[in-house]
Amino acid sequence: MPEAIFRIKRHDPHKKEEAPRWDEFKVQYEGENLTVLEGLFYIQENLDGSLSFRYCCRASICGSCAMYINGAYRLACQTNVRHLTGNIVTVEPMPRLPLVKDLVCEMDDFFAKYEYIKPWLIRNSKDPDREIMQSPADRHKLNMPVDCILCGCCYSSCPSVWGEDNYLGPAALLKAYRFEVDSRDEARRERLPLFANERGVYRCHTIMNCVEACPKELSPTEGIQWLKKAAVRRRLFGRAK
Amino acid sequence: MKAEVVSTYRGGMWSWLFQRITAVLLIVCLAIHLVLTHFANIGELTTDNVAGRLAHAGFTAVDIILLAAGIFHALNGLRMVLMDYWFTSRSRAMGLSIVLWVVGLAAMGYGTWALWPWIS
Amino acid sequence: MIHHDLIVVGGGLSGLRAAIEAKMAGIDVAVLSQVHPARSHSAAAQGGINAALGNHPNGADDSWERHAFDTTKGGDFLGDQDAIVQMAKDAIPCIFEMDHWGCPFSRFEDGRIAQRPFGGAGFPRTCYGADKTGHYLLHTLVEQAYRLQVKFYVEQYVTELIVHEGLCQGVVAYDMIRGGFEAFTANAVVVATGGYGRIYSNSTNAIINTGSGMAMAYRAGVPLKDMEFVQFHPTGLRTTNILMSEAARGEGAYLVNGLGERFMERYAPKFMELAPRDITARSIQTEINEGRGINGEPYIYLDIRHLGAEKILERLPGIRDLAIHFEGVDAIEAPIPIVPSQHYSMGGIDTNMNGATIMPGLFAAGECACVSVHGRIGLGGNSLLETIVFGRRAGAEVIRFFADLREKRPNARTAFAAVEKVENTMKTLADRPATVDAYALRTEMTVLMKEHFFLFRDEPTMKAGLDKLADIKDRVSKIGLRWTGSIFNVDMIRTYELEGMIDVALTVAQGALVRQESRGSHYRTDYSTRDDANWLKHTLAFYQAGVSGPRLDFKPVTLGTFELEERKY
Repeated sequence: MPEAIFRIKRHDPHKKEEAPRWDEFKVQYEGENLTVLEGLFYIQENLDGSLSFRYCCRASICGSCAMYINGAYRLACQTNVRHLTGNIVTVEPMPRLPLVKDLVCEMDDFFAKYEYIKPWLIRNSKDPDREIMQSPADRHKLNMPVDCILCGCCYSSCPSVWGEDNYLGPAALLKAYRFEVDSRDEARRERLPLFANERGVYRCHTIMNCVEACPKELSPTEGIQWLKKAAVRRRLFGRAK
Repeated sequence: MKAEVVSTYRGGMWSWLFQRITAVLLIVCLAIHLVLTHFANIGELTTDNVAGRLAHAGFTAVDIILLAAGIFHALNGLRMVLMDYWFTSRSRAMGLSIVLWVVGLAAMGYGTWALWPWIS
Repeated sequence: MIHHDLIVVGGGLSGLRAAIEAKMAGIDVAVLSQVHPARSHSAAAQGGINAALGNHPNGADDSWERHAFDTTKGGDFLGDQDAIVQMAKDAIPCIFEMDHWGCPFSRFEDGRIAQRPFGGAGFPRTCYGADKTGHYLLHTLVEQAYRLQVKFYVEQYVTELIVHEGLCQGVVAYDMIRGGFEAFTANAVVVATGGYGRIYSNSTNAIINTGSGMAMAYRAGVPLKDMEFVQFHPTGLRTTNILMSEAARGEGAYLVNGLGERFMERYAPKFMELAPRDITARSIQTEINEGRGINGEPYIYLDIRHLGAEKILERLPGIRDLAIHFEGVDAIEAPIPIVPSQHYSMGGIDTNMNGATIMPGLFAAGECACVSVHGRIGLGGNSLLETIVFGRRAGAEVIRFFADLREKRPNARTAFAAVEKVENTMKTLADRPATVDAYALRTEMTVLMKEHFFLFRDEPTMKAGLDKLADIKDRVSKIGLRWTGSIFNVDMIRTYELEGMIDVALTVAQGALVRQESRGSHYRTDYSTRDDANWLKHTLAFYQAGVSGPRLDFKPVTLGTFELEERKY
């Protein structure tokens, strides 16, 4: 049976006397495929019951199992051990986020910032009896941002977030972009002051770590740049979008 | 939320926009400046000839713009870097901006004063 | 102890929709969820959501009546027709409402919501957003919940209902982030915890879909209805059983066996690949059983290559990505290996059309409930619709329930007693020397369900399966915890939920054994026809303490709108 070696960073911050440590496990598997998430379950079931990690859909759509695997941001469920170089799988929690335990990070700030930018469709005019019409071309603009699964990889990878606790971060700003670019949204200047400031889009220096980190291959930077331009269009030229 | 919500934060658009505008100005004016100083034929390189070139209205205008754009671009860039690391609170950022404006205006004044003999 | 007027357990589509409905009426509502609501399994739904909008050029004659008829026939006439009619009617305003809330549906050229054909439907009426419809709908509802400031308690694993003198008055939950158990009291509880897919080893469902809400209600004395009807999706990925949406077939994909034949012409010549899921799944399994799998191996191909790269990237980008990541196959260049997999739980907590159960104060909605609209085989696109329509109706029913409710103070003593009971259960699990391995037992149970209660069922196999299940239920009292820490204890949750899973599995098994007919997804080789004379009725499973299986009872089906007819495609 093929075997992979998992090196997992373990830490329970509630136990103040204990420093973070690296545990090594041998994971055996059948067949050709083993995802990192399956490996973690194997460890949790057979080798060390105290291992903590998030899991849900195991099909790369829920965004629960974002981790730092072999030096890159990945979804554990989407990462095939065979596709990693070497036979050693190094698993860490997402760096620079507060830790709950082992591979579980605290996401409270992440979601607070998400909530802060008003991530919902803002409408002022009366809704029609049917759907609000939207051309395929307008719908096409949403293709990229609506695929965000809020896993937090971009947020953890962004140097601007590291330096500034209050920076909204790529995920929240991508969400703002998702609505600002939507032809049905009528926020005009309601959402604008929330993201068009130096804790918002202007804190982004196009470092592009988020683009590299995103397991869904989205580009938060593209959205943020669009928002910067949108702010100018609206403030200087009074445009609606 | 550990991070405080910063609803009081406004602005940033002008600073961002002018950083881009000054960048374009820098490229254009710097190119003109370099081309004129290196390739424009002013005859023999004497003080009089150089002073004559400086006295040319177009050349002086380019230099003034270059000076303003350069100072703004440099100090605003410095401000960005400093804000990323140290001047994170709103009051500190404001303080930083004021100091940099003072420095910038002083530099601008000094530069203009230095160019003044040829402008007038 | 924390109090909210309404507690919703589960943050998927139906839970959120119920919470939003109640919140809009000004009710103090909180959602408790094992994962952040945006991570709920609803997100994994791909294909679409049905509503007779008539937007498709071929669907101009579509109507909610036709939608209701297709649903009834698809359900082999075991669905309650009043509820089906209601769902088909509500579908249209519900979809428009989702659009007004910002759901990014795909669009036709004229700007209207795009619709695609789906299995068992007379017209193309499945509204979709690429092949990530569930993800889009879920995020839209999460956003609306944030807008309305619905209180979220995230990563709270609900273990138990608090029942005081026959009234449901809240829940006990394990706080995964901070540790410890807490009582959440309420005047009403909506259970919306989704399906029990994980009692099968070959499920398309998320790992958290263990039927915990059903088990909670069941143990509190609320019956589970029609549990023997389990939907098997024709196309799950070969190794991981990850869902390959019906949208693929809706867009024109072929099912191909080892001989290179489009074998569906032998089973459903008219509908071909778009026959309802049970028929398609059984056809695939028949091909596999008769040795016509790919190279004789137990799988067949889903082929979308002929659609062309452009259409695949526009309409089916998600399933292409999944096939690449989990099977190593690029669907543009190669066919996708697939097998039928457990997908949906048609049965669930017995509720009426408004989500009310027999226990006052307890409501249920979504996959964990059984209003009985799917009858015996959910048509693709109806399950998402059910979550939203009946989530909303459950929320509205709670509002009515509150208007009539006189005593609005949950009993604190009962709440504390419930917490103590859960703590004691955990203590027992922690202190007990584990002579039986919980995870081995789980695997044994899930594999058993796949082997004995899958697509083709017969009496001897099921009897043997039921005996084994009873044995597993005996042994579950010998499992114990491996780790007793309080913070994010995955081991505790997975060990604790096992007994509930076994209870749910027993209701599935018992119901399947008793029902001596073939109807929809429940297909018996020894009773291969539908028997309306004896079996046009719902099965109800009641919990019996101390006995391994449930007590079964029956309940008539609401008919009257549509005539019974043979189900042929």
